[in-house]
Amino acid sequence: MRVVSAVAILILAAACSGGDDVSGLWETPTDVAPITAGALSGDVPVRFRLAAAQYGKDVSGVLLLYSDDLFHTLEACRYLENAEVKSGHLLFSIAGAGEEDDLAVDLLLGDRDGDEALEGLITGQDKPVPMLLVGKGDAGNIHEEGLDLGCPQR
Amino acid sequence: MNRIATILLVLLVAFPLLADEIPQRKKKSVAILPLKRFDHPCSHLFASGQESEPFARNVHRWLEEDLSKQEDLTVVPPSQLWSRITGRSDYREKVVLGRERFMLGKEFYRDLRQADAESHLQRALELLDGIFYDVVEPEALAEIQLLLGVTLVEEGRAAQAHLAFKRSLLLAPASRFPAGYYPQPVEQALTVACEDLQQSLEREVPLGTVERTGRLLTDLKLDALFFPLLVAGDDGVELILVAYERHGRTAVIREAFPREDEEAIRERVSRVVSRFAACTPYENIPRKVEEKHRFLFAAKYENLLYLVQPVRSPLLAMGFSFEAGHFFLKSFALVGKLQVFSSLKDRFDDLLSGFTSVRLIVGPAFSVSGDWWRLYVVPGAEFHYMGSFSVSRDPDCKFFLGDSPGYQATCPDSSVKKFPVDFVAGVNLFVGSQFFFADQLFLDLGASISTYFAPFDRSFDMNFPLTMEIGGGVVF
Repeated sequence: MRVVSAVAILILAAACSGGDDVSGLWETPTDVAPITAGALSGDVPVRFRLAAAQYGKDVSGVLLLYSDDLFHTLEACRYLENAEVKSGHLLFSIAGAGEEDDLAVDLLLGDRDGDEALEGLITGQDKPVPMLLVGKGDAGNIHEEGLDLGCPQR
Repeated sequence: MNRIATILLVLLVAFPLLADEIPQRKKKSVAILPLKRFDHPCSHLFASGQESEPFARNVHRWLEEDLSKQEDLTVVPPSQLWSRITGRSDYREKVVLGRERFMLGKEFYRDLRQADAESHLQRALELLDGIFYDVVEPEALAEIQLLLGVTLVEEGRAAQAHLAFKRSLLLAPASRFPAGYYPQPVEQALTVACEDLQQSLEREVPLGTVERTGRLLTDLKLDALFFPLLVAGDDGVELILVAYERHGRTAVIREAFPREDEEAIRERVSRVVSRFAACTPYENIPRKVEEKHRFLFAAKYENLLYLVQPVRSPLLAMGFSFEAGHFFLKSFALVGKLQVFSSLKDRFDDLLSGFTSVRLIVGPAFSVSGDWWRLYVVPGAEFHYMGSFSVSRDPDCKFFLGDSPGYQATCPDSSVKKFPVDFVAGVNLFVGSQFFFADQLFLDLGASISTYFAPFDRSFDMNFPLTMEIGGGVVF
């Protein structure tokens, strides 16, 4: 039986993976105002960038928080921990600011004006922080921007 | 020990010789029609009595014996020949119709309606000629030709009557007619036809035409047909042997020799048969694929799937196989295969780096084959060199580039399993098919599976590679 299954797999070698895929580069859209992410962003309004790669249900990547106004310079980077895709949700945790506990992130894979989007909340602080991301590129873009090198060591 | 060495030596010498067999000839089937005697003078046409001649039976027997002695000839006995003719689906129907027409022709002739008689007699001949009734019942057909001749004489068509009488006498040379039974012009025409026939016998085709003879041979699945004739020559009685082949445009043998004592005639018959057997072209029996060659080379594209592997999804590799074989016997060969594979990405990217592997398979091949195909099985020993590679199920070890800060921060060494370069050995079973689209070129399709049992500690996590192969090759 195993051999028969294997032959079927050989014939359908490029079997479709199916299901949701969050691999790629995601960013806060430009028409959305930066938001304060509490202690995580030092109360500075920030935008988000997410570089992710999905392997089955497992996901790896980094989440960047950055400020694009002239008054603040902030760039925080967090590794995605225990990241997985489950029922259309991308679930992961990130390290909190300082000695804080890890923060949980739950993003729903959906659609915004015809573009793929991830929308959800960062929880674990006093106030949940809303997050909206739209697709901005693929693995090639992630590599070009060096996001597959991880967070810079300080 | 010496005995074993002797057996091995004999096998080594005999195997290549067995593979070099001479192609086999297709046997030719031949038949002999009964001897016809034209050796009596035409003045005997209207005399009573008929001498029996054991010589006729002897000539037939000698021919049969000499032809049977030839290795590549099969003699079809007369009884079988008759049943092949009479066994045809339309035989009985045409005999009945032909006889009816003959009877009608006879009635019209008696009623002095020659024109109607002629058309019925012609139709009777047409029907009966079509089923080669003249071979089975030559006297019956000779009777129809005779009546046709008589009718034509009465119609004043002497030339056509001459041909009908001649054909009648060719069919039944032993015919005798009571003197005075037929009108004088008929007797005269019969005598002229007889004399003409005797003079032209050396050129006559016993069944009318070469094409018709060829058709009979084809219908009866015969390759050659012998006609022995006894004729009156210038220097006495002569035996004429005529033979036709299926696709021949003329007689392949037309030999005349004087009737001497029986031993001399027998010797001459024997020589004619030997010459025929030696000179007639033979078809070779088409050799099966397995008989055509001794060496084989093939190149194939392959997909390989490990049924046991260290990653979560099927681990595939693609590559090429180069094969060489030497046939020691028609259906036995020794085969060697050198195969090179390159791994493909697995679905979850658990394989962190691709690897190359090379395997050598050696074994005997056993095959069965037809004219253009061969099925074969190769149980062989396999030696497999596998390049180093590493696998991990941790997504961080896959996403971040090696030695990057991200990799160092998120991918602990324990998450990566490393497989160094390794050699494994086991057995391989290959089942394949070859389809020859040209004399020496073939398309090859097959599948194989291996199992590794060395190294014996069974620490190796990859086993049971299953392959599917497609390619082509050449034999010579």
